[in-house]
Amino acid sequence: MRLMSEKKRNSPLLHIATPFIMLALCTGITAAALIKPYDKLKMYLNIAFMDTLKSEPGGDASGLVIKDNKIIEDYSGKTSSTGEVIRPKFGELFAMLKSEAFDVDVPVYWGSGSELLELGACQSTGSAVPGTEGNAVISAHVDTFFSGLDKLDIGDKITLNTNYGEFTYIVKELIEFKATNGKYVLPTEDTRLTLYTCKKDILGGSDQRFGVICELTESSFYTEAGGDAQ
Amino acid sequence: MKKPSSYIVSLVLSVITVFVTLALMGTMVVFIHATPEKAISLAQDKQTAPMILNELESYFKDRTSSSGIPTNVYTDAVSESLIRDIRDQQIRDGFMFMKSGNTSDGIADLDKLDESLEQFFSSYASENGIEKDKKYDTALEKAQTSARKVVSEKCDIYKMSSLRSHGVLKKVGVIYRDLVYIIAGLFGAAAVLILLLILTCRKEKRSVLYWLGVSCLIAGAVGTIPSAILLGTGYFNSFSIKQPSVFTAYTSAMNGLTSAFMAASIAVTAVGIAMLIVYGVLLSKEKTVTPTDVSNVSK
Repeated sequence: MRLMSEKKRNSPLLHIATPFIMLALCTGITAAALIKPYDKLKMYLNIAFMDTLKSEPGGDASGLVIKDNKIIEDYSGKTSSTGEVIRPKFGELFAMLKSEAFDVDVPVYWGSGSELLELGACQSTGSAVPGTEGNAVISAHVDTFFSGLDKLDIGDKITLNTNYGEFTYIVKELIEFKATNGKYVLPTEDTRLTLYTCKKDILGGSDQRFGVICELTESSFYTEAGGDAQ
Repeated sequence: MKKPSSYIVSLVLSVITVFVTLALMGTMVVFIHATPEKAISLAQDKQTAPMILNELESYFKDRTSSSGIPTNVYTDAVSESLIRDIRDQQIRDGFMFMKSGNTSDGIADLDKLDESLEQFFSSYASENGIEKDKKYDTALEKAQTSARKVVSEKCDIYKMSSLRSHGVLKKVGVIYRDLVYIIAGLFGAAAVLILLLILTCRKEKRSVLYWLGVSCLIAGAVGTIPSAILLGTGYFNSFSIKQPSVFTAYTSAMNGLTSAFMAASIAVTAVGIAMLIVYGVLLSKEKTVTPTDVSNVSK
């Protein structure tokens, strides 16, 4: 009886079925585990292989002059909660946006347009310069620099480094709106940072936008020379 | 495989072994193939330097109408060997940054390019009676900076500077830097898993061979099938990268890494099949023993 039961357990069927069970398990786990890295890899490649020379400074026929400033990111000198901002020129790299949710440090250009959006995020010139009162509105492509925007949640920290100070924000509200609805990009009385991007649409361009509204929690204006530019 | 509990434990251990084997294959492939020497050798084998030179010529030719600077001002100052030096330096810098977080002092000497532009601007100013004032200096500096940037960008066939400036290399570097320790850790984990399998199957030691064989077979299959699909369908070749030199370098590197991973996977599959054959032979030998012996085994 015992011998029969053992024979059953050692049956060829079990020996043959086991590799298939393992294959199914491993394929499933691998597929699930690779979704996130695949998305990240796609974003890295999108960023790396953009043709940055399309908007090379100095000679563009469109008249757009792009200036890639070095942004101070490790300032070690004294700071003050108030100070002077430096208003950037159109096409100028003036800030670095950082958040745990983003896989890359996002360069922020002053202005907008397809050429600037290929280089980083863009801040609308009609919005408030970081460090001043009002609504600072920044947007970027969803498949590159703002691919991690949907990962932001209420309470998440966002840092904006400029050459005149560091500004820290906390996500207060998650927003969704139509491209034609200007409600969230209008000037405000309070000091806030609005980040938004397009909703992914496999059929092409989407007129839906989503993003976050962040509240300013800390302003550190640089009061003396210090730190190395990136 | 006598008790259901030991079967489940062995199954779980084998599934973990599959992933440890896959990770080990992946890290070993990266350790062996993702080196500056291999990347430079690939760039040389694929003749990327002449491609870059052609791209530069075509780029500056297109720009002549808007910049007013003739193509030969740039091309006469940039030789194929200089392109090679800049390209190789950028590859080394990228890997150095991943390893240590630092880069070398800068790209190869482009003074000849600066001189060529300076000479052109100077002749142009003399011929047209233009004063060499601040405006002249700014225009010259702008043209030199622009030319340097273009040459540097075009030579960066693996897009190391782009990946570095966006913080990607820094993140990849965290793993790349400690690759040796990660590989050692994975070997350790594999040894522990084998020990655990031996302990689990201590009453029927030969089944360790079965579980390890199946683990290798599945790890090999999970590695071989996607690699074969990627290579067979020419997945990397379908990428729309505009710069021919970047396209060549990138697709060749990716195809090379995938081929290496597939070769490792096939080798692991072969090891798995060999283990299963040995297990089968042992099993069939046992089945041919006398009934008395069988009753002893079942006790």
